Amino acid sequence: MTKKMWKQHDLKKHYDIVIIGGGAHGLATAYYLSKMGVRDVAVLEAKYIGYGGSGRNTAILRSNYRTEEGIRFYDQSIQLYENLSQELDFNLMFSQQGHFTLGHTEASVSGLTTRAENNKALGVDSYMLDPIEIKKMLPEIDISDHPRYPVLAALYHPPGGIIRHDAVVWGYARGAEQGGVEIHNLTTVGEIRTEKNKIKGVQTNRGFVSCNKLISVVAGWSSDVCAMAGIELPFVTHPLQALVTESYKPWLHHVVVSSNLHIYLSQTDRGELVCGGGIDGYPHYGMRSTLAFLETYAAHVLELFPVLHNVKVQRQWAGLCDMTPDYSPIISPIDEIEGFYVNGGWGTYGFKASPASGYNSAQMLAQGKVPANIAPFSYNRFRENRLVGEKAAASVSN
Amino acid sequence: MTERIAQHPDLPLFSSPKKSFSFTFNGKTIEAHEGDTVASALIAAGVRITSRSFKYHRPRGPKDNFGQGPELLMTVDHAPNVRSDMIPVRAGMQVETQNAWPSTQLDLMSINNFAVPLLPNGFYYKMFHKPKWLWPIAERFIRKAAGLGKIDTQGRAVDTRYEKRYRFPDVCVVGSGPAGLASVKAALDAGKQVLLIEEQEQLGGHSRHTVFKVENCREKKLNGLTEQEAVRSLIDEIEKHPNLEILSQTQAFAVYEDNLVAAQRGTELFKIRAISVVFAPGATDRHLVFDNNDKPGIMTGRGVERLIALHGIKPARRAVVITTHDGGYHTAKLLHGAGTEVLAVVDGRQKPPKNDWVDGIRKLGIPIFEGKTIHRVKGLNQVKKVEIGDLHGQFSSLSFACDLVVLAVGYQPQLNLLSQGRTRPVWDKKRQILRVTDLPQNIYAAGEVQGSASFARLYQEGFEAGRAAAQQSSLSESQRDENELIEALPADIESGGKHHFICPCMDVTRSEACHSIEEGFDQVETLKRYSSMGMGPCQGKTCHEAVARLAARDTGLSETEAVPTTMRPPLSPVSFGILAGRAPHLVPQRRTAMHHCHRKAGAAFLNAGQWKRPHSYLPPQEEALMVRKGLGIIDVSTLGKLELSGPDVMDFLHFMLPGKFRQLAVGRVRYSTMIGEDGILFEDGTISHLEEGVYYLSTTTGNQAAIESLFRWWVLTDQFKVHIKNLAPVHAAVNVAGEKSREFIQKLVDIDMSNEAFPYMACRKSTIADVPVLLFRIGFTGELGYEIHFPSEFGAPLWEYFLEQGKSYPLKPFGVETQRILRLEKGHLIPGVDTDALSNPYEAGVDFTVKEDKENFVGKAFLKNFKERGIENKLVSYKLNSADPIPEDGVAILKNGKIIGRVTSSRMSPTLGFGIGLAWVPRDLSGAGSRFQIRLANGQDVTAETLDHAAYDPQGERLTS
Repeated sequence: MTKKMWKQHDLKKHYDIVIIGGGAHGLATAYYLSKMGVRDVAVLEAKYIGYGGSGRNTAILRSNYRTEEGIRFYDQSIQLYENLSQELDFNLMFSQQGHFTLGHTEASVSGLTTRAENNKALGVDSYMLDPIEIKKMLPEIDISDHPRYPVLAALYHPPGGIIRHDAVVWGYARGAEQGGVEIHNLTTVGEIRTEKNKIKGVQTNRGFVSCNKLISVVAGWSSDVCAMAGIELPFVTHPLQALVTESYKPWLHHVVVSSNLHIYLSQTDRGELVCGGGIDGYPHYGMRSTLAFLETYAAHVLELFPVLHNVKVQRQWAGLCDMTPDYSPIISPIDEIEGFYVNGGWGTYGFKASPASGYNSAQMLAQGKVPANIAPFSYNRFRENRLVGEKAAASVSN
Repeated sequence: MTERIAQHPDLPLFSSPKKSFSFTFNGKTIEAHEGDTVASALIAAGVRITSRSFKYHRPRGPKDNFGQGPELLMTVDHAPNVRSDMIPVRAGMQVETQNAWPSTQLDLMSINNFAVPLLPNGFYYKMFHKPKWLWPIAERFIRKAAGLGKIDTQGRAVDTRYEKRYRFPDVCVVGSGPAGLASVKAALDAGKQVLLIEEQEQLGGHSRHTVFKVENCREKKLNGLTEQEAVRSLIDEIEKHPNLEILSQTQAFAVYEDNLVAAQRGTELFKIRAISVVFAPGATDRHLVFDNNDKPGIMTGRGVERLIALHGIKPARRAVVITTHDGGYHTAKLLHGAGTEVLAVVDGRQKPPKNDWVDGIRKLGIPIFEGKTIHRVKGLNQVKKVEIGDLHGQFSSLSFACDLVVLAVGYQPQLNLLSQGRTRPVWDKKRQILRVTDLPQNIYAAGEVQGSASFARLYQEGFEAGRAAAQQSSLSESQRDENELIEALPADIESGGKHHFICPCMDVTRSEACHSIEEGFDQVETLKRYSSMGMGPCQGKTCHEAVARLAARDTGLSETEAVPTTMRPPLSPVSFGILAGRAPHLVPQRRTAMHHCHRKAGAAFLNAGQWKRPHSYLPPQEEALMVRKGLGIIDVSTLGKLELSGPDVMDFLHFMLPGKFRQLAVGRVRYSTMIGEDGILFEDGTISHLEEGVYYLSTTTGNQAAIESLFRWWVLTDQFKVHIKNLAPVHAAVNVAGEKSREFIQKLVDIDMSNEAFPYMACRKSTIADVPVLLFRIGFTGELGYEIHFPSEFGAPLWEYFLEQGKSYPLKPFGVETQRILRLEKGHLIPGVDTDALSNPYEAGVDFTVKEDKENFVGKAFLKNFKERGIENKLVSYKLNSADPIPEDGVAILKNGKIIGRVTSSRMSPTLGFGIGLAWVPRDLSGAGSRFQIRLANGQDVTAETLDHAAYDPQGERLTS
């Protein structure tokens, strides 16, 4: 008899904590809450778990950020990821194959050097490589001066890699359900009710649910959901596109990102090259792909790897990114409404944050205190104009 | 056993090819006939196992011979994953099979039939992760076994020339079967320019191999002809029409927003913007799930017909045809005519109709089994035996020994282009197919894609769609006759056994799908992702209908809920080369008017924004000393140059820039920063009052285009009456720097260059060698210097003229790297290099450019906030001890192991003999004489000392004297 990973539940009238959003962050939050002994929790998902960014990202993990805030937070995330397959008893296929960020201009090399040095200072394995060293590890890369922007150097980050993103979603979902949390698919929140600046509950397509605490973990849809509570967020949602090629014999054994060409690629254990680029230049909630993305990506990737000219794109898609002005998230209580929390603003770097985001969110919800690692990501920093400095590093942040 | 046929009694248009030639397959020489695809030549030569399956390495063979699945993917002339059934074979081609070891015939990686039932469902998520050290080892093996073709790392054809082409027809028709051809005809009749796209070399679609008689067609003259003849006649009629362009061997692979159609042909990408698009892409034989349903020797009806009619191949010795409609009888007839012994036609219908086709088969003595279907196939590496029985797979009643099983059990429409990331297909119960009905404006669909069957109906629908497309009018849903319906068999013939492959590409069986559902993946999307059904090379084209129907059955979802997952572009894979084209989608490379002078002088170049600029001509340290001690000239043509004028120009400058300019007299220049709405410093430059009401703004190289668009955006947004003239492309510029620069330039101009007449931060107009020039007494190097702007057509001649005139000093060119050293000695920042997205002008030390008491201007609110907050970090000049190594740009400044700042620019000062630089440090280290530790990339620490001002000429005496 096959063991069920999760069950269908009737929606109760009340939960201690309601989590809106059944992506990796929402489910990780639920999982860590259950581990902390908080079990009266419901995850409400409008479609199915992993529908949004969790199922549409390119599954790259790294912690070589630029700022101390970023480095500490993502390092915690990588450390959680490193033991997650064993903890969840589910093979997430975390492949720590090493992560290159190529620099093609002197300004970007300087920025990469800052990241390398800041990483080293905080104990994150990260260092600069020159083109000859790069070529040794990526034999097919073109390091001649033929490309429009030749490769000048790379930031190399050995613990970085890729993971099976859907498995992370399912692993957390199963873990959360085993811990007593309820996951409700096809459950849409249409209204957030408050009373005297205190959260009351949510109106769903399956009826009203009251709760003591409510957290919005809906990434690209954050502005819409928080608007239901009358909260305005400094988020702008942009589409981000990606593609995979057909399957080829594994040839690329590292993640390669180019900060100036705005592209990245890696090869999965199935042999497909997973590729992505920068966000589309316009705010939009549409998730249709464009030909322009394919053309630009192709031209840029061939600058790095001319041998890929007859490698073929098999599928393209798009997801949504909730961009903040400082390229850093908000994980924070909202002062205006007691019991209301926001976890969002994940831009293009949300998936790699899932464990740390969930873990700290769970602590914040369970203990009512904001853990130190996420204190810099407060909602109020935008009121106080105290931004986090990740934008400086984020020409392409995957 | 396959062999070539010389003639065929049922195919009047058949003629055996005249020419033959050879190519190699896995190193062996194979004979091919003219008109063969790679695959057809291989099939004719008796190759039955053409590939191995993705996961279990099961043997796979040709099925539909129409580019649908991965079973015919091969490496052709070192290009991996080529659909060998879609490309014509050529003499000398080198064809190889993929992903099998040691060979496709005997693949030792096969874990085939015996192991499959032993692996738990979703086994890859449940194995190898405990203990932790196991996974990296297991992964190495998995990666060795994974993947299909090999990327040609030698890059043998890397210089292939790819092209992009553009078309703007009135009507674009995709597909040239009866419906497509009728659409073309209707649109041509309406006087439209028409573009017809056909994937195959020849027009005609499936009718090319169909000899049903045309009846009741609105085009009367076609009645009584065979379909083959009818399409031939249609093609003859339209082919030469002056308003028609035909792109054959061209595949429309995607439809994007606003009906942009993308197509590929060979090495070309077509981007098609038509007013209307008609999709008549047809349908393929339905995928049927039963035990061992994916074995070499199982082919589709149309796949078999293509081999016989188009390539003259007798595909087998003995065949059994499984069908649910008259098409199966048609295939049986063609097989019989080709010399294959047809052992039986197994018809799922309880009562096949009485017509010429059914009767014809009976008359040939071929037994017909009614109300029956296939249960299982037996044979290790290929079909040896087939068992048939009732429709639900309960009672197997008969078996036949044969080497071919033909599946002709209805059609599944080619929906991808109609659906593509936009809408999901729905199950049309009445038509027993998946359909896309909500089409965007000016997109039409006709023919088999709508579930139509007879030639007359296809023609009718195509014609109506073509007419509607020409008029951009709406098209009503065409009605359907009862006898056109092809009833779908159960999606899985549940006859027992373990090898019911729903998704043959990814080796997913029915039982695996069922287990996934039991585990909780009970929505089509999660089911797909967990089991990876439909995620292989065919992207669900084979299996999406079966997946949806079985999901409906096994999950309890209704037929309307269990629709396939969103279909994504592209329809079939398209290469990076085709997408990239010849002109890369990269920013253009820009060169100044003096570029070739620099090249001649042996300059090394660097990228500065879009520009190529001389890095240096000699070692930069030498060049720097030359400027300090003598005279140098640098090409600064790449600076942004905007001329601003108009009634609101002063208001506009006050609004855009943080400073005040009302007092800036004609002939004077001022330095200014630019601040974003967020109060962040992002740019600097100079503003010069050229003549009454005309201002000349210079900006940095990298931001040239961005500043122009930003200014234009604000002019439009706030309705300033300002004229913006971008002079960057038409003005070349140089900077002459050094103590002797005044003396030198005085020789070239007839204006008074004295310090009194032409002071620091002033500008003048003059001529040099009869060329009108703008002179600015400004500089970035810290020496007395002049910037000279002039029309770029004189770029090279004036550059040469300066060098010639300056020979006696001597005047020598210097590069950007040298300028960076010089400016660093002087402590000048470069926005974007020494500042980042958090740098405000107070902390960057350029607050003298900000006048907060001004009326509203861009960034004011945030500047106020920054000012109130006070200085927390500061950009400072620093120096090192002369023996210290020079830190890399970007390295960190540490205090007790904590990061407290960073070095932004760092060089050896040849003038001073020690290292200098700019760095962000906390306020308490920003005072002159403070010391801090810089951590080099190699881990070594060096001590730096904060400087009060610039390291070189702190009082600026050299500039102003």
